[in-house]
Amino acid sequence: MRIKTAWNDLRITLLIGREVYRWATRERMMYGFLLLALLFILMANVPFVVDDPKIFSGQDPEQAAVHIGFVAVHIFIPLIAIFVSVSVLQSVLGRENLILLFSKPVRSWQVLGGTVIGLFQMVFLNWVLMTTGLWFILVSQTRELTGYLWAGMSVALIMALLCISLTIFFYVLVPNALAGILTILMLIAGLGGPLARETFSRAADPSLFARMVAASTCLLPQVNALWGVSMTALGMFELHLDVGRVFAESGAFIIVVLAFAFVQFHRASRF
Amino acid sequence: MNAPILKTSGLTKRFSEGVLFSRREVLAVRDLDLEVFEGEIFGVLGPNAAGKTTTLNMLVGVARPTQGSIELFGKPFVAGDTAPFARIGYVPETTVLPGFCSVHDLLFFFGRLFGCPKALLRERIKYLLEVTGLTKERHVLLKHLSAGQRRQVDFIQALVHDPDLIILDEPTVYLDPVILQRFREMLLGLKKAGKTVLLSTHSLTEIEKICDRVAVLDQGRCLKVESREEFMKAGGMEEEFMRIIHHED
Repeated sequence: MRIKTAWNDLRITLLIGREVYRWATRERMMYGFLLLALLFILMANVPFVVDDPKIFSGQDPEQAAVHIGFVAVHIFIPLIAIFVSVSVLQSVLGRENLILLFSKPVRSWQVLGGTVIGLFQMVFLNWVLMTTGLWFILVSQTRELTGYLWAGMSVALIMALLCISLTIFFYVLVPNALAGILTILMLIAGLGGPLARETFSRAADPSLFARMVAASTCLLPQVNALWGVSMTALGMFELHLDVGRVFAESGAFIIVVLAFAFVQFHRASRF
Repeated sequence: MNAPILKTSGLTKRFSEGVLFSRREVLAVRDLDLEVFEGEIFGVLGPNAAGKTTTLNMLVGVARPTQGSIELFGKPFVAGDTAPFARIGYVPETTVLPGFCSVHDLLFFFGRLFGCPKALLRERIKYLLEVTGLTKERHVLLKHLSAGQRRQVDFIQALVHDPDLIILDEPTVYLDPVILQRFREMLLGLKKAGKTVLLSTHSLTEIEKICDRVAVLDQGRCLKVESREEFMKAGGMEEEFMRIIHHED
């Protein structure tokens, strides 16, 4: 009986997820970003075509191409995740749509769970298209399978999930476009987090305030560390990072953010 | 008379409006006692801001009552319990349907939420589209439908899982006279099939033509519950409605 109920709950969540995915892939903005990203990725051909070693500081053309691809994927995937999410959330979590959904045997966690799944599916599709584009360029130029590219770029998916979770979290608190801006600010804060932590914990006798600031930086998304993992896997730099710890911390961050969003949404969703 | 399929006791909804110092409390529904019996068409009539939509939203679990209780299908309705909704079809006052969806796809999605088997669902959608005259629009995207046709889709989505209780909030908005007539026939057909209909409207014509009993709501209170015949005896629906409302003023 319990298994049947659980399966039914999951089925409804997946159904909503599929609908949200359809909603998201109808967003023209997504195609705009995707097109820009693919044009950017197309530039990865340039290091193979240009012979002058001064232009790419004597870098191996493959490495330079991966560099360009890395920038494209890690910029456009978060942008798509944030902006398309905000746009889709305005429709899916709009009052009229929620009234229609909640008058059916649907729970609030299923609506939010389906939204996360649908949005992630949309970002995943974009990631596949972008990475495939880059992979094709590398394979056509180097005649090697470059499998490491997929592993290195997959970190962008964790970043995407982090962006989606943050956008949903902020949208549940502030149901308008400000959610997207707050997510971007949070990512920027995440970028500066390690520097702040180091600065405040370096003092010979750190005050209570400095200690608190240093500790609070742990609550920020690990943007630098995630990029570092990706760069190391792509062979761009040799960074000594504890990959397991970075993934565990990012995973925990996503879970906590989503848990808050689920609780808040459950409280606020019945008018 | 049959057993009440829906019963409310002392149903009250309070919410606050405004921001900071201009915040004030609004009593949208107060001490509402209603009984809707199986197989009847029950009308909820009232002027704007009478509390009709808030009442219906509480009945379908969209809004939480501040006080009072609801019984659905003879059982107390507990907040968070979604089981009774499998037997309820609801047409909200306004909907925003996804324009990229075709009529069939949207109805199929809603039907699947209720766990209807796919083959049965396809048959049911086909039948409902035939009855409402939307068969030709089956694969048309919702964004290409007229407001009246979209309202019909709203109505069909409430019937797609063959519910026992159908709750309609201003369902006749945007409908032309021809569709309106078909709509009335459908509601009477549902009654004949043993379904219960709760219809909220401020259209006196609908109430006069199809409802068995009517509740008059104003400023969140239920002023009178009578059979249609009683209203007619008292001098007609419009006269009696005006008399009740103005008497309260």
